[in-house]
Amino acid sequence: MQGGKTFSELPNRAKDGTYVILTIETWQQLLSYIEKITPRGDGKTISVQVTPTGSIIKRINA
Amino acid sequence: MPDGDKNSSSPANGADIRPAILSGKTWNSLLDKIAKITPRGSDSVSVKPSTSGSQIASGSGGGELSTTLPSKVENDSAAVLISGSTWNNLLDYIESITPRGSASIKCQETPTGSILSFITLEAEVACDPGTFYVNVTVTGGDYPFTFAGAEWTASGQTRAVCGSGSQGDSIVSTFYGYPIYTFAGYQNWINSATTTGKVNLAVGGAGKGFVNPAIKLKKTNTPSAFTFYLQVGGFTFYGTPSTNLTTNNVASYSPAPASLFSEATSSRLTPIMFGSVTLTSGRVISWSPVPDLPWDYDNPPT
Repeated sequence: MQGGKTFSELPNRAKDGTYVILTIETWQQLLSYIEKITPRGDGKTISVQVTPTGSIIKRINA
Repeated sequence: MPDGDKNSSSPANGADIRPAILSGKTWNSLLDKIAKITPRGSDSVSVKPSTSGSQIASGSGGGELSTTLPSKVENDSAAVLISGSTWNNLLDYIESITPRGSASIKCQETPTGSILSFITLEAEVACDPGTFYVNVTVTGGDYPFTFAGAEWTASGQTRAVCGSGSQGDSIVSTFYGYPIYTFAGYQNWINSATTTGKVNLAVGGAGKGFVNPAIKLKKTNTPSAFTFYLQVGGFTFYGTPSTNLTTNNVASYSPAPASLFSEATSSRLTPIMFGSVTLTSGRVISWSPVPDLPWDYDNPPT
């Protein structure tokens, strides 16, 4: 596989049986990761159609 | 501006909250956002989620995950207390939807999203549908540049090198729908240029009576002749050396010659399927297989 975000930028995992209180840093780290993995088309060969259940990836002029 | 979900639909940053106590509304908004950015295939693009991300490639359909998002809450204004298992489930889901590129689709990470683009639209059209082929990218040197049956008109372009001919060996198995002649392989990548004037970079080979998917680079007896020899058993992709480079010599290879030979790992083809050769002129020829199968036959994905 080529390209894509590394998991090392995700927040740490929690131990089962515990509860998670997010720090601001962790919350923003999560949001930053989510923004970076948001699929986007290049406008030339691929388009991305956002729906409530996912981002449908299509080839342009396929 | 590339399309895709707008960043403004994300929950608000928790800049003024210490710690970040999530309201039900924020939690639900987060889950909505994650659901919306989950990659889904279409009639022209396939999505294969796994624990290591969602591979996006030429094809169709897919995107169904084995993990599910945590549940939403009913009370928008109440604080959400997240259990460790819920948090981990959320991270599992996010990992599995992280877009991954392939041999046919590039995934370029940016701060505002993962931009997807087909690597070579024209190259795919050039080869017969359903056949195995190799994407070759050329950088440096003069153009137009004709090589292995394709033409590059500018540095950085990718072209498909298609197959021809026939393969006589019998098929002993299949792998992801493709015929494979053996799982145990023979590979070498030797540099004997100093003694015979020949570089043989190969995976598989006639020495064991079968032919694996193979890429060979042969430098013949004269310093000016260099041959790109693609041999992919089972994919009607067998033939004599297809193209000579008559103006350049080889400066280096990647992976390095002789670095791959190992009986213990002889069926693991990944390193050579993504290789390159640098010529003394500075021109670089690199290749990758299409489709991007899991070439490690010993450890196929479950």
